[in-house]
Amino acid sequence: MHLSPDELIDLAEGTRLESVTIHLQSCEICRHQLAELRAVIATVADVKVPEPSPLFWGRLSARVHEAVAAEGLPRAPRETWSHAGWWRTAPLAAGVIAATAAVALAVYLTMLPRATPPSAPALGVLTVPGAVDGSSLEPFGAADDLSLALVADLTSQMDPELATETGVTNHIGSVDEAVSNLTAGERLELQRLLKEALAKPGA
Amino acid sequence: MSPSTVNELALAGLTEAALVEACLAGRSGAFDLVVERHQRSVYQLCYRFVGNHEDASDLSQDIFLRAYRGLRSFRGQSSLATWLYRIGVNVCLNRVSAKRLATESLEEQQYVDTRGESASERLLKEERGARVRAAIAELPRKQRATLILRTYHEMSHQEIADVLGSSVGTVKANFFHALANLKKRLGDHAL
Repeated sequence: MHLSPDELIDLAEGTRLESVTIHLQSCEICRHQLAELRAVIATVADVKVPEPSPLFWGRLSARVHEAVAAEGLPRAPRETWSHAGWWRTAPLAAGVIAATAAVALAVYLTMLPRATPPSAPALGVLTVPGAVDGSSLEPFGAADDLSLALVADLTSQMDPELATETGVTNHIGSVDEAVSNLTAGERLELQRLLKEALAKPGA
Repeated sequence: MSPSTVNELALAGLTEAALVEACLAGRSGAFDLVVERHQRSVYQLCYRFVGNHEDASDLSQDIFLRAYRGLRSFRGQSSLATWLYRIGVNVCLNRVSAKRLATESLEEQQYVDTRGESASERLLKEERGARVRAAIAELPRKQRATLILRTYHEMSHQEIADVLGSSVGTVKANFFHALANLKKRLGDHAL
């Protein structure tokens, strides 16, 4: 068993002597390796950094001084996401995510071709159990601005966990996933309602 | 004695921690003194990584600016020099990852101290130095950082482990492999 890299480094730097000398005396391979390490260390240590012009240090100090003067006093370390009390901002973030997803969904649906007459105007996939009661969406078709009413309803009561559970997240493809879960009837009804709302003057 | 001279003398007598406090309090000249004390070692660290004066100069300025911005996070658990090296190594490793750096030619190195050497000795030494620097530049990042901090900045294995966020065992292994790789790259004739 030969000496480990740890032991060889310690030996090469002269910080370990007695404990491994017995092996070293009897092992030519380790002795050779140690000699090589010492030679490389000596060669590397002999390479100096070219000394810059004596004027350089003053110029560097001045450059740093100017840059620092433009900064003002050092600021307190910024809180990172993991330490910033994310829970304080999570509901707001979830609301923004939900709003974004809902608007994107609405835009997507307006672009779908109409195929068959609407059947059941159900919006089950967007309903958050315990957070948004399906019945609260009743004035849906009569609202002045459908997409805003939808967004307001969704975001006013949503929390981050529910956002995740319902698939209303900000990962790529989440809107497509939500759309793909709508029934054909639901898609058509949403499309009809959105078109109706967008056709109004000032929409 | 002028007020600014009195201020400089007072700052010069401060401990490291007190000097940092003076910087944070916005005391005139305090950070200048930090720069003055550490600029040579920071510049040399940068030069070891990038191998040319221009980049080493820019990086040095960047390191001090980052240090100033983050001064409130300096807790005094390590020395200011070690803390600056930690910033420096990160800045240098990011830079060498982002762009391929040109090593200076011998002609560009105008300020090598060559007093007491003959022309042939000087040339031989410069050629060998250029070869070694080029070989170091080809080492993997952690091996290069370990080799530079250990060989040129005389940092302990523990300090290097702190700077690189690794263990003493890993630092020793990296140092060993760095030396073995250099041996391979340089061959017997350069040693």
